[in-house]
Amino acid sequence: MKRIRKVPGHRFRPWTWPLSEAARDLRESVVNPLLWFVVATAILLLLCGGSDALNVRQMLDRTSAYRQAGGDMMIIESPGNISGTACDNLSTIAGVRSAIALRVAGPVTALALPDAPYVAYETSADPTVIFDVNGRSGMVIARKIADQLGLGVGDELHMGNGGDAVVTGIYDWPNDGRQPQYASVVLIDVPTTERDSMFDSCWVRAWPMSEAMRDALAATVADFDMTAPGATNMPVPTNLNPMLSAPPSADDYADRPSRFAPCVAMLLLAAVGASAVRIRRVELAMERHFGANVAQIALHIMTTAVGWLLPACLVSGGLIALVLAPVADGMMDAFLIWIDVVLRGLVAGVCGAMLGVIAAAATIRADSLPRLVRER
Amino acid sequence: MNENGMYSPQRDKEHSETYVELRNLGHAYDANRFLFRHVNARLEAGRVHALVGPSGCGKSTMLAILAGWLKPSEGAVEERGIRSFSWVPQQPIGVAKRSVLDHVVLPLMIHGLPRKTAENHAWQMLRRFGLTDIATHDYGSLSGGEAQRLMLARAAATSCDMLLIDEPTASLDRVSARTVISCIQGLSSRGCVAIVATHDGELRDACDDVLDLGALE
Repeated sequence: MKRIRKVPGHRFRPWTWPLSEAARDLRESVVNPLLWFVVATAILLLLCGGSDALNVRQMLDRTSAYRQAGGDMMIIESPGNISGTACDNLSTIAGVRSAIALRVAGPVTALALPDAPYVAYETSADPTVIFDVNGRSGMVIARKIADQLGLGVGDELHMGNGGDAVVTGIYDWPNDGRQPQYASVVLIDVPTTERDSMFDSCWVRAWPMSEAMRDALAATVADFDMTAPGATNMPVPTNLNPMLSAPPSADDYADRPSRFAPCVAMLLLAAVGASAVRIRRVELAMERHFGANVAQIALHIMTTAVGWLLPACLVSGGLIALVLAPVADGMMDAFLIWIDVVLRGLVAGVCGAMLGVIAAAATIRADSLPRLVRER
Repeated sequence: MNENGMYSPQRDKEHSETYVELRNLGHAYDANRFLFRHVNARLEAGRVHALVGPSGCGKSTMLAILAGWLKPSEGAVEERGIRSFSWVPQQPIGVAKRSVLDHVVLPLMIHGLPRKTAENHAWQMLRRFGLTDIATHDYGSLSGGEAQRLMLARAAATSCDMLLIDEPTASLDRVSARTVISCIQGLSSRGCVAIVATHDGELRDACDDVLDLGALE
């Protein structure tokens, strides 16, 4: 005769007891949450998200150094052929921080050094962003000139022609490979009425620099006549610092080997989740014997796991954010980097842990009890 | 829930008799070496049946067959009115940092009772098995006898139709064993089929019936 055995029904409140049991387990430290927290944090922080974060941080550091050395600046030169208005209008393009046109002006001679006039340039717009000026536009001098004459921002420059002018700003020009002829010049704003005239060069500071940007810069050259005396080749945009090697590209970022860190996190934390079940297999087999199903067992352990997994995610995510924050270009950039580098790893890790729990819970059977008891 | 507030599953009205019948039951792990053969017995509800025999004669195997976890090599098991069973292992199973009360409450909550109701019923069980004084103690602090009585209380709490108890006094001293034996004697009043595998003579004598696997061919 077929044995008919009806398991006591647990239709009512099927999901409350796993949750309440998990809460009690955590409260009574049944599962040693501190140990699991340390293990999960180590996996997320050191092996996975941390390694990817360090790799990304290195890439961002190299990019930052590239930009600080003038890598985000491009110049096109064509004496007398650069439209000041067209150049200034480049600043309206997305990604462009600033664009100005320059042309040679009459030299500036300081009363203190009458035999050493300084090269001067007129600028079509505010040069403070392009030249990283400490101060404001007006009459901006190079640090070298300021040191020679002992001037600071706000000081008066006594000129050889008897006039005086207030130094409105000072800029640094590091010797890092950028074009050296601008290391000791004076920058003077042109009057607004003269901005719609022709200049000698157009400078753009933009990031990222793209082919479209180069094309827009090239378009500021007006009516270049290849047949004119002295004309050689069509002017082309060049980097301010030709000594720089290419920075990490978007492809480099997308192809970085550490991008598989979330996969590693998922696998390792799946093993951790499965271990959390295996360690309690005898006790869970008794729960199965009492009538709990696999889903309830899994919910019980998953909820307990949240007790140590959530703090591990918070600590890991926070520490990795601290690693990445200094090299981010603003809050939005930092947030996007955090999502790509950190959140993916955390989500993958949590999913892995939960899948490990579910897979291991599915192996817990009541009829294994005699064997499990013998093995204890 | 009955009028006394005790958790009690509704009995199947079509099965006023509750029993387990063993028909020519036999089991072998090797092809020609049977642990036991030709076992015929009718195990009635309301009685405690001792399953005895020398070590290795298949007592635990018989319990596994009755639990449905092992298919017998020959013969059959017929059940009537058995909808659920509880198994009490030889080595008590518990969670060291959880209380005695929690261990009895859990199976009741798995059966669908809210915690408050389950606790009330659990307290009645603990009273019945003399465990109220240690209800709030952690399982890890219990003696062997206390842990074994807890296993019995937990198994009995769910009002199952069949109780399978494996060597409950095997690792206990005589004093502890006697407290467990008195608890087992009280199981007959629960109206279930209680089967105790044991080689303890005192426990055997305290049971209502004896099925001696060692006396069979």
